[in-house]
Amino acid sequence: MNTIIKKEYIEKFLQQDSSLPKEVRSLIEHTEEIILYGLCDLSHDYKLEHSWIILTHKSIFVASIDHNDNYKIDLQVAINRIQKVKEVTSLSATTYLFLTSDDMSPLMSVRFTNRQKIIMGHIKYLVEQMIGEGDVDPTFDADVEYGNAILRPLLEARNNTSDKKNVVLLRLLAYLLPYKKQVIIGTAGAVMTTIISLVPAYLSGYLIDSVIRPFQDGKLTVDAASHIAWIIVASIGAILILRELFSWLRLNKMSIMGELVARDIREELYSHLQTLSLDFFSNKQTGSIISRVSSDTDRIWDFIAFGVVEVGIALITLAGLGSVLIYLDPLLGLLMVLPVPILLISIFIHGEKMKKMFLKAWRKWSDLTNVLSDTIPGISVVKAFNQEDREIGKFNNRNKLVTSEFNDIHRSWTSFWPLLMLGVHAVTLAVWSFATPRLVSSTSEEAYLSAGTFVSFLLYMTMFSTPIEIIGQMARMLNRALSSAYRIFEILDTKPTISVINNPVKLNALSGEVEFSNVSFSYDGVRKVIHNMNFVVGPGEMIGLVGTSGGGKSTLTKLIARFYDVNEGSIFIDGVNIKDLELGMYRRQVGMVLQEPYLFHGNIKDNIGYGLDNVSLDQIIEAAKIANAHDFILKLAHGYDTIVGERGHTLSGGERQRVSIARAILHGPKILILDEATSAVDTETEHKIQEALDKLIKGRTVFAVAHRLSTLRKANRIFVIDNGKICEQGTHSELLAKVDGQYSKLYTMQQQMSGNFAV
Amino acid sequence: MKKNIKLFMGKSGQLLFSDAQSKVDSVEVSAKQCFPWSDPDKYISLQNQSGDEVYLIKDMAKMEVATQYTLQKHLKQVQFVMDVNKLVAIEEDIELRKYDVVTKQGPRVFQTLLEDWPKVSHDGQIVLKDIAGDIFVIESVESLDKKSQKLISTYID
Ligand SMILES: Nc1ncnc2c1ncn2[C@@H]1O[C@H](COP(=O)(O)OP(=O)(O)O)[C@@H](O)[C@H]1O
Ligand SMILES: [Mg+2]
Repeated sequence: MNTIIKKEYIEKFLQQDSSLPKEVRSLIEHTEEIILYGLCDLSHDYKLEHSWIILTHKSIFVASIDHNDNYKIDLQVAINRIQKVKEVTSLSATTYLFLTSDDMSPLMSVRFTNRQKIIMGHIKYLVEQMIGEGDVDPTFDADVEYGNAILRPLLEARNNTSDKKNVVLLRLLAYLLPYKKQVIIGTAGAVMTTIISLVPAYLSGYLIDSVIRPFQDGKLTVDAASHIAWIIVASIGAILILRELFSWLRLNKMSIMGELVARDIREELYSHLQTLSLDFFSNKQTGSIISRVSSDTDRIWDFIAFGVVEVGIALITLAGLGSVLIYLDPLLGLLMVLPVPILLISIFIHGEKMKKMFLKAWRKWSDLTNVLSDTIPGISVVKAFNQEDREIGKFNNRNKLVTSEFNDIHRSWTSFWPLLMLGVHAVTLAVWSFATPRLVSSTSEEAYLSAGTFVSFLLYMTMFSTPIEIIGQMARMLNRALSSAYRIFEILDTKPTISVINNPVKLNALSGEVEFSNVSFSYDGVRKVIHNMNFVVGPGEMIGLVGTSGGGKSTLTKLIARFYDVNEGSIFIDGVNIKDLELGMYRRQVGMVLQEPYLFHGNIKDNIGYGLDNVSLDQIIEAAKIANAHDFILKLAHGYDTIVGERGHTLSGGERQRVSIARAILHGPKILILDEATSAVDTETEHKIQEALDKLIKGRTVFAVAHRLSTLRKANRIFVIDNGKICEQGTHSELLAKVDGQYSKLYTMQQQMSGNFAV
Repeated sequence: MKKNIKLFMGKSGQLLFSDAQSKVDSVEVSAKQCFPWSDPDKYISLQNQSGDEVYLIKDMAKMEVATQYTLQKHLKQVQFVMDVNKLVAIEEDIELRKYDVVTKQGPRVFQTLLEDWPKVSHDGQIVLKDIAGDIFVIESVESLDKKSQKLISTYID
């Protein structure tokens, strides 16, 4: 996201400065380098007032605006006086107390709302690092981190880079470019349909004025009159046929093209989604991503196939009608045309009112569906507690509310449209009352109106209401399409965080050496989750990773699989920097067995063979046997053809785990990652899985994260990870020998636990 | 109710708890209401720095006056939310609903997700939570001026 848009977002949505004000900066920067800063938007007496907190290598400053609108430094505290940063949280405010000790009043305190919480958390983290380590070595840009942190909640809710509606519309229409021919044919069809529609009414008037009247007045013979009359009827017929022909052309071309455009967008979306990092998916709800690929693209189809053209036709029709009417008879024409804007405005106002009512109805509607989505998955609880009647009551109650909301809407529109039509009729009546005296005046008078012209008029008048209605709904339709477009572009504009280089190294057969060289990593740019880590793991070595939860074990394995790129240092695989490797080829040689294995919808056979072409049934069975899965699979009625996954047969956690192990075995990865693969199952199943894993790890480089240390007895080395660092490493017995070590403490604790449980 | 527990403020503004019966020193605690919205004055849990409950106050009204005062002062901080006095505008945008309000604490613009409707409690309080997690409370519809009432009405009834 570019900096200008970020600035605009911060200022427009959050109404705060998009970076540290220059005046403040200049007060500090001439003596000290600014590491990071944040805005405190609450005063000590809980007023929404702005002051800035600025962190340098030596001090923390607080600056605010004085009475003369000048910034001044209120406070400066040397970091080395601070012993502790205490956080006091409340529902909407957080206070940081910078303390020397608990029983002394704080050196300084700042208060802010949740909006500033991320950036302030970064500052607190850095101050604590400085207290602990003396100093920090920031690798980020203060302005960038400030902007990212402040905008994060907003961008998680809505991530599109462009805010201008016309830009989005143009971008959407650009998808039509590959289909120029269809667009031109379709548009021409639409324009022709519209113009031709205007002709029959004109011809009807002509028939009366130039044929029927002269005939009645005796100026035309029967033969001549009926000859011309037939020609006119025939041409009306021909025109109607032509009109439908053009209409077919338009509908056919546009709807097919709309479908193609929707297909293109879906294709682009789906392949783009596959390139995005895991972060993106953890920030968005699955349902929201799915609906963008499905219903949003469908709305775009609707808009392109019908919306654009309908509105176009409506506009052309109105303009055409207006000019024809004024041309036929300026006075009557104006009488007809002038009220049109009033009608449009009243439709618009009604639309706005309806929008509010729909909003209400929608709210009640989601209340109703919430009952469903709440109770249907929990139906067994409802039954167990015998709460059916209560739930039915709740449902009926909300159902009534929804119905009454919708009935309000119905009352509103059903009375509006007849009223509007009354207005239209009033115009018609006005036309009649102006026209009638002129119809019966003599031909020579200036005011004379011929019957034919009047008939044409009447026919044209009936054509007015449809385009007015369509234009009245234009705003709503456009908004719907635009919001779908926004949601789609939001995904397309999200950049993959893994960079791709031009001439990647293709390592076809890894040997499996993994080296970390001064690796540091942070998810959010400031908080380091991995600190300057160094190790070399040889091919075929098994490494056990243990340590407190949140220490960074899973992150470490994700870096090895290159789900994220490191911020500092490098990871080498077989001596090649991981960033230089061809990602696809590398990932195919890395296998992961996670705590929560995922099976795709499909049969077990395909799930085991996922991602591989040409696997023989022998291989599948072989893999399943190694994974201790063969026996339970055969107990299922359909054997390997049993459908599993979301809508299929539900396997237990341990069974799914063994299927995923069979999958990993078949893949034959050179580097294998096991992240708490046995944590979620009972002891007996764990034993089976462990057996399977023991067979799987042979001949591979393995990183195994485990809670239960007993599962790591085969490990060549064990890394104890704490706070992003390897704080101990060695073999099981080496680590046990360190009596005060974390590992031996952990081990003793687990021994006692299992001792307690084993009767 | 035991009268012999005490709460008082420490030097750095921290809440300190002492139980006269046990002879231990006072411990720093923070108070957490069990029912912050439905029954804020009852069932207040006092937790030490590691988050363990050291005492559960069943009813604040039955405590010593000084302790009540201290606790209330502490709770007022813990409960801090922004009190909306006036609504200037509510706008629907893509994916977000934008509120422009004047609160007792000052003016503020905030956003909620479209499907995050204002919640109305049984005693008529209207609670809004923005995308950053800040909470805004309207005491009641009647406490607002006519224009604000009209603006909010679409979203609450
Ligand atoms: N996707 C993420 N975004 C931001 N922070 C994360 C993410 N995943 C993990 N973390 C944070 O990184 C730290 C290490 O997490 P993790 O590697 O999962 O630890 P472990 O596996 O050792 O329990 C934790 O503080 C966690 O909150
Ligand atoms: Mg983990």
